[in-house]
Amino acid sequence: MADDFKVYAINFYNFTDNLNKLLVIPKSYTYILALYIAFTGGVVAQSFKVNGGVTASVAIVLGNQNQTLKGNIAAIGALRYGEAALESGLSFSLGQLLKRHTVKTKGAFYAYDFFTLLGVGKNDNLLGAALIDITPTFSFNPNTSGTFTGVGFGFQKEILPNALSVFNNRRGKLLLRFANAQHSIAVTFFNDLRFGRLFYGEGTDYGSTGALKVSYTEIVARNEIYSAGVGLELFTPKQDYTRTPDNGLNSDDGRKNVWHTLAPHECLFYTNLYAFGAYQNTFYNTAAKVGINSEKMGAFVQNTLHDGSGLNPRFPWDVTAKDKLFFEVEGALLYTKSNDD
Amino acid sequence: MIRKLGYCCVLILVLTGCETYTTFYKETARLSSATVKRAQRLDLRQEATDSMLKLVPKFENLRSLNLTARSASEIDTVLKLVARPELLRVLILDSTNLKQLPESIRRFSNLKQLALNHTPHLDFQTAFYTLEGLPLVFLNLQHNQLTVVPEGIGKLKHLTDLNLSHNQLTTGFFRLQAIPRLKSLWLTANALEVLPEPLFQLKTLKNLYIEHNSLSHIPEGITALKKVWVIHAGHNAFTELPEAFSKMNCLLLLHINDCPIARIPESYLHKDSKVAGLLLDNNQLSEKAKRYWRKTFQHFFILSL
Repeated sequence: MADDFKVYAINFYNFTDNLNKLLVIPKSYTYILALYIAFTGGVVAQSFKVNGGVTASVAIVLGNQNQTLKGNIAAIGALRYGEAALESGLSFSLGQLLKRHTVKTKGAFYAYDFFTLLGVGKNDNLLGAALIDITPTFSFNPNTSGTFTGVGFGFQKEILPNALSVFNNRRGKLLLRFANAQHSIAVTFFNDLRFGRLFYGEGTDYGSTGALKVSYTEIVARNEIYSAGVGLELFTPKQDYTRTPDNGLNSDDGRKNVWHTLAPHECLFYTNLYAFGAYQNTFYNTAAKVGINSEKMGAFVQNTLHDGSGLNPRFPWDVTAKDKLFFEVEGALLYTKSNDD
Repeated sequence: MIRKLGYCCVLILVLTGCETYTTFYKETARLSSATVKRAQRLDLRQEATDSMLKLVPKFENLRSLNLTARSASEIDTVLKLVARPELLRVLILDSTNLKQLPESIRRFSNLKQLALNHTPHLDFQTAFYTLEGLPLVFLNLQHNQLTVVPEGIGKLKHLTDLNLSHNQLTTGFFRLQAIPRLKSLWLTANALEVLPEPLFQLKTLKNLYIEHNSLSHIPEGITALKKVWVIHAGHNAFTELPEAFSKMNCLLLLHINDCPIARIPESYLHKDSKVAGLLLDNNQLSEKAKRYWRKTFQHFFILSL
């Protein structure tokens, strides 16, 4: 028995190192993830309750800002010991890009997304899958009746081709989840800044930066689930750190410091305020987003954050630009596998 | 209690939002009878004098008025014609030949921002007495060939943001101490070779902008600025990251690009250093040093070397 544990420990540390190299993530996360995988692998005592699922999908995304073809694999698992619960999810996407962030470009891209929640309650429904942002697909467990409240952190990164690669910044996520039987409410706050050791953004303050997503998910039948919610996401070009931030745009008539931005995407701004919905059964998943793209709103939100902290200059949003429609639809064919010990 | 506080916060946010939208996010209109009803921002830089006199009184919702490059007499006339002066928040009087501010400016009882850039002939001391009592929070005095901080600036008791960039200031900085709420001070491009000691007595200051000067050293006295948490000091002559910044009480973010900085002192590793964001683009750090500091500062919330 002792020998077994020794072997396990060596493998564990090798595993965390390899995982760290693969995903370029902090060790605090890799330890949590490795522990989770070890537990779900059955190494621990019988008093633990383990649920897990894996979903593989092939999806097409069509919209006026994003158009992609991609394959995706997502795994989620929940572990609990009495009322203490741990939930983690990991997703990886690989695909062909046609349009991203309103820019038409062709090339391969990939993305990953990871989160971990700690909380209290009988967390068995696996609806934490709603906290994975790069795909709307779910693994879920309909045979649950407990409640769960959890808080956690995560991060995601997208690696884009060509000139868009400048926006390959990693975003940290602060997560909240409240669940009751077949229902779940999830809140995700994204930012690319770093806060402490757990909020693991890239620390760049450009590209996809701040975002907020609130979703409600419900398991409606053994093989059916739907989700709905609202989101707000901001995108700005890269600021030119070598120029004094004296841009006149969005400067409140010269009162505020405003960055100049870098070519070739110096005017690439958007702010989407949207509602979204998704439906999934055994074979497919469909999702849609619709809302407005408003530079005025983006300026207001980001100015409030930047002015409030007083830390960084503003971005030159065109505050007089007219609002535009934002829409996106996604369809995916699925293969799902789950277990419930 | 918490609910009431929440309502108050939402109310303040909504009201602030409305003020921001109406004052700054509306399109700036040119003079025309078609824009009279809805215009809240009006640009009179290139309008004929006759049209101004005829149409300005019909604009009843003006929040921002730009009178750049108009003559002193035109400015006085237009300011007298504005129909509802209590609504105006922003007045821009750049590139004028004003020698005195017209008394008519005192009609604007809620004026928050005033720009007097490129007005080198203005008697600033008298101007500040004229502006006394107005709730100005921002004054823009760039490109005025000032060599001394003008006397009387302390009369502007509501001022929080003051831009003195692109002048040749060398003395008179003690006068800034009379501004009780000063939070942001721009001294960009003033050919400063050393930071004047009186600046270190600005106890309310939070943001200090000193780019494009000739600074090569920051005195320890800057540590007296207990509330400053952002400094922009790019385009100066520093050869190492000034150690004094690492000893400041709450300096969080330091922009110090485009200097010949080749060294970062070890004091930035000390636990007393509050710096947690650093932008050091276009300096002369070696690649080896960059790698070392990227790793060392990996917990910074923002970092660019």
